[in-house]
Amino acid sequence: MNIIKDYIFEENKLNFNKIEDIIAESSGPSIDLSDLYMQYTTVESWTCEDGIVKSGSQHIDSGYGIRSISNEKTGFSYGNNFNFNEIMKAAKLSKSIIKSNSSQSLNLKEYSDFEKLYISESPLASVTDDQKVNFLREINKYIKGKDKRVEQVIINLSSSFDSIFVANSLGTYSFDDRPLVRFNVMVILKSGDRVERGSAGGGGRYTYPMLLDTKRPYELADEAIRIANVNLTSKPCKAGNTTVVLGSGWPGVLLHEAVGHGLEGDFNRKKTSNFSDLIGQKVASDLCTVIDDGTIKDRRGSLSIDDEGTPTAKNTLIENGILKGYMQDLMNAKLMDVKPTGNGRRESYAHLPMPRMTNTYMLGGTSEADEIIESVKDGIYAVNFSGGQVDITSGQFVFTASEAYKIESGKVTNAIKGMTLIGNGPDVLKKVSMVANDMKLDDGVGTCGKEGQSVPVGVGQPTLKIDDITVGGTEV
Amino acid sequence: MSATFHETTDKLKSIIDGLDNKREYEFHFNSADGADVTSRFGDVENIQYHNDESLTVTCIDGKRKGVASTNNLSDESIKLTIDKSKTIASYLETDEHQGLAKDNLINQLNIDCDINFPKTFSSDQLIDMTVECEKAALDYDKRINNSEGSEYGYSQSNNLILNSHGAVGSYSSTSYTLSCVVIAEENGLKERDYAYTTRRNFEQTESAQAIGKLSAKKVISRLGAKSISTRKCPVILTPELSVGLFSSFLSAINGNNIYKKNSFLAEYLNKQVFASHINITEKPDIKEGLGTKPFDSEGVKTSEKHIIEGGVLNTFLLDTYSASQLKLKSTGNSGYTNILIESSKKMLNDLIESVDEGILVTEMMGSGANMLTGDYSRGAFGYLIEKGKISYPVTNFTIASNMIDMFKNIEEIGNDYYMNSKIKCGSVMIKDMTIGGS
Repeated sequence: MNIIKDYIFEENKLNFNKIEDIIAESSGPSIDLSDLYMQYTTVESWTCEDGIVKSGSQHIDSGYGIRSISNEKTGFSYGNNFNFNEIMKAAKLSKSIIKSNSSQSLNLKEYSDFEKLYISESPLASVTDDQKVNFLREINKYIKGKDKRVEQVIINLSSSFDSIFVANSLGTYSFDDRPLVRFNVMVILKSGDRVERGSAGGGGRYTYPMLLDTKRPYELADEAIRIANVNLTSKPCKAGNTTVVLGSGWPGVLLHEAVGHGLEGDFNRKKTSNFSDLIGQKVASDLCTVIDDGTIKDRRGSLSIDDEGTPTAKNTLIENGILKGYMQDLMNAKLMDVKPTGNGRRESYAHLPMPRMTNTYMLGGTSEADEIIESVKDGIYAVNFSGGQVDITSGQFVFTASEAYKIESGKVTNAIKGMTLIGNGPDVLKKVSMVANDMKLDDGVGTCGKEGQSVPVGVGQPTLKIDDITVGGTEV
Repeated sequence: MSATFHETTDKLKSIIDGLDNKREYEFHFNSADGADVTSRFGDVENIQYHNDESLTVTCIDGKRKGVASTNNLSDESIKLTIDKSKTIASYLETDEHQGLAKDNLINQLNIDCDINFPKTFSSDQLIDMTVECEKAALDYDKRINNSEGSEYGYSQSNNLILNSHGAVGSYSSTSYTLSCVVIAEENGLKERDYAYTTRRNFEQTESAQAIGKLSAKKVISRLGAKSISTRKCPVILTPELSVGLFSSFLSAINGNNIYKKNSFLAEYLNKQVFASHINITEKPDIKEGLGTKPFDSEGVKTSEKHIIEGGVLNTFLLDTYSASQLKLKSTGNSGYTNILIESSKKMLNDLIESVDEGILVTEMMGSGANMLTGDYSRGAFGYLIEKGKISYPVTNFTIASNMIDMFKNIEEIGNDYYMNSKIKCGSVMIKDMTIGGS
């Protein structure tokens, strides 16, 4: 069910003729594109802490955003009141960026022929509130029973259901319903004087039973305990340049920061990225093929259509080290004279769309993961990261590891703490010297921030070796 | 304050007064409107108009707390939101510490605390300011060859709290922000930097010219950055970065992190945290203060407090819930207000001159501050200091330590106060940090 179609339209006496009037009001001869985005989102969150399921919340956020684009100019207005006259006022305001009063009539047609990549059902109602509470209680009991050193456990179960409607002056409109579930565990272990934390989580675009009826939550709980336990024995990390082996899966977040953002269309149209004007050129070692794919079923970063109504796609960004293309939304694709790639995303109706990643990953290579570790005399094996950041102009990126080990004479030895990686995107990609055949996507917990807007994303990569990168730590 | 905010206040007051006495209720209502304009290369690129409102209802039913929110303020939707908060509460488990704020509650509507300075602009005025700002940057130096533009934003917001123990409070505030981001290139290498100003009162914002020039100066000084070798040395953080360090401190003494044992300062109450020359004070009522608030987000009156005196931690920052967990009283710190870090009254130049070999850090990246262990390891950009003078820009290095050590090793705090944050502090000199370079 789509709440916009089944409920908001009816309650506010909206119909497609009126939507046509709104689009007409926001468009005109000098407007290249105008669109109306309507959204109704319900979010819930349940948390178990100290063994008590002590907090629960539900938030409803609904509204519309309307924008008018003329060349490089964008006018934008949004509001919460779906009353027709209010939306018409907003349409006028968004067009006021172009000092012209003429409008353009049009006939809208529905575009619904895209592949549906997830179920059109709200996760919130997919199990009862009692079941959610019992589930959290059960996981808590499981963790407390597993390790006596547990000092604190925080478990969170949350989900959202987004109903969206988008119509534009190119003459089409579409509906999409987007479920999203997320489960997180954080464990603090205490041993002697030391306390350390471990966390793990997973989720995707489905309803609760897809996660709760599996062994997955227990595996994630085990994982959180394991990481905290590893960190209890971690030693300070030596600063300086070294060889780093990145594990498969979540370490793909490095790819997301080091390369992904620099390949977003807006930065490249404005030539503010250090990947600007490099299409067809070598930007990474031959072993690197990087894909952004919004079409993987049920994944956290996937969308059937992006927030401008363009179906998502599997886009090759880098192929065997050669830069193939950028990620685009409608506006930047038009200005750069290329096709939109289905990467036009926005945090909500109250934000403007821009080119964003979906699920970004590197394809597997031919080496074995063990063989990569064995090839390192002295280096670091980084398995998990807590977050990162990039300056897309200089290409500088930074990552902090939440689980990492020393590699000595080809063997993984003791755990290290407080390790930060710093490097330059293209430089580092050129130093990728071995890529394993174990490509893995992350567990479905990634959130990407850009210009103050957060959207869910996925990352992935095989085990890989970077020959020389700067590592931060407290030891000299 | 807009007429609609008054109307909504009256409506919500009569609704909460009519609710059952068996449960506790809290209403938190926010509304804001404003506009944002971005110009790039002398022409407007974006105009955005905002208009938001949102109501959050908290229901405590027999020590169980449910929260629901909506941005649809129709009678029907408010009723559904209240019902939802009750339903959620009914499914939860009892937690003896749950309860709404009862003591020291605010009881005044439309409080004037000198942070509301409404002003209307035509979109052309906003465009002109951004164009002037960016032009000042682009004209500064030929090496500045690209721009992300200049942005002007203003907003007015209204804040209302009501609870069934008698909290009634509201106030309005304004904010005006101008920023500029430019890119410079030399020998094929690009750098970006920015400058911004944010104030409660338009009259107090820095001029478009000044912000444009500052962004230009900052980006030009980054060109030609070199790498640096691994070492231990003193580090000076610019005021902007010091704000980040002190905000990590404030998060570490937040009651909710303390009772969860998720803080490296959990055992430090009444103990030495900083060097003895350091004093940190919360002042909730500074005129035009970016953090000024008459009450916290639970409706408890805010008050001045000496958080750090002579380097000793006097108090945690407690809301009602964390105070109950720790068997203490709320300090009116469901959130914090203006924080003043007293300086040792030296200019940044004095600090630099006192360093034989060290680094002035002007930018940090990544999320390497571990609140549980205090481990600190972040990427950085800055300037090498040799024999008391800035020598050249340095990049691609990390700085690392543990926050417990960093706090104790703060030797000086400059008087070059940063004005764009509710945390007011100057440059900070830290004795000994590990630099990870090549």
